[in-house]
Amino acid sequence: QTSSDKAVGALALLVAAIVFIYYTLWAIILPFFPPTHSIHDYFPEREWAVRIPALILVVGLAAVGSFVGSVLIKEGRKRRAK
Amino acid sequence: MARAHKFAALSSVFTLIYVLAFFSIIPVPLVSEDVANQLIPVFPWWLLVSFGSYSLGTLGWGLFTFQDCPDAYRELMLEISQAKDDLRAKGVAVD
Repeated sequence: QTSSDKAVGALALLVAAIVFIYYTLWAIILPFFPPTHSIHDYFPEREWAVRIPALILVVGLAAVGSFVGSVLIKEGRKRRAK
Repeated sequence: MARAHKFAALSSVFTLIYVLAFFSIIPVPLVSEDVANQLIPVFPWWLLVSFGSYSLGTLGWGLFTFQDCPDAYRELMLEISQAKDDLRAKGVAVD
């Protein structure tokens, strides 16, 4: 129904905004602060700012590849059975 | 295709500039070298995360602002069943 759609949409928008703001602060803004500033306490070490997106990318590509592969295998089996 | 060409050209230029900065062939203006060395490795990943957030955000916004249209829904379902009947009568295996 429309109300749950709106809730999902609003949630997705909120998550996207939070992720973008947090990540931008982490990757782009933090280097401008001296290493002793307390703002660094709110963020993990900066090499994770590269590792986490890289991990997500690899997992995402693997998922897409597996799905495409499984569909092709299923189609191949169907065609051979005909 | 013209728009794709334009996009490809612009991205090639920016990629070239980025690669040159990555190998320290050209200096990055406006920031200290220390800060630039921290920013440059992270930049493509930031682009990827921004693209993902933008995609998720526009998806969410579209979902949030979508107006339901029951008349169009009923009309569409009717058209679909008519098309299926039509194709079935002509011998196509539908559904």
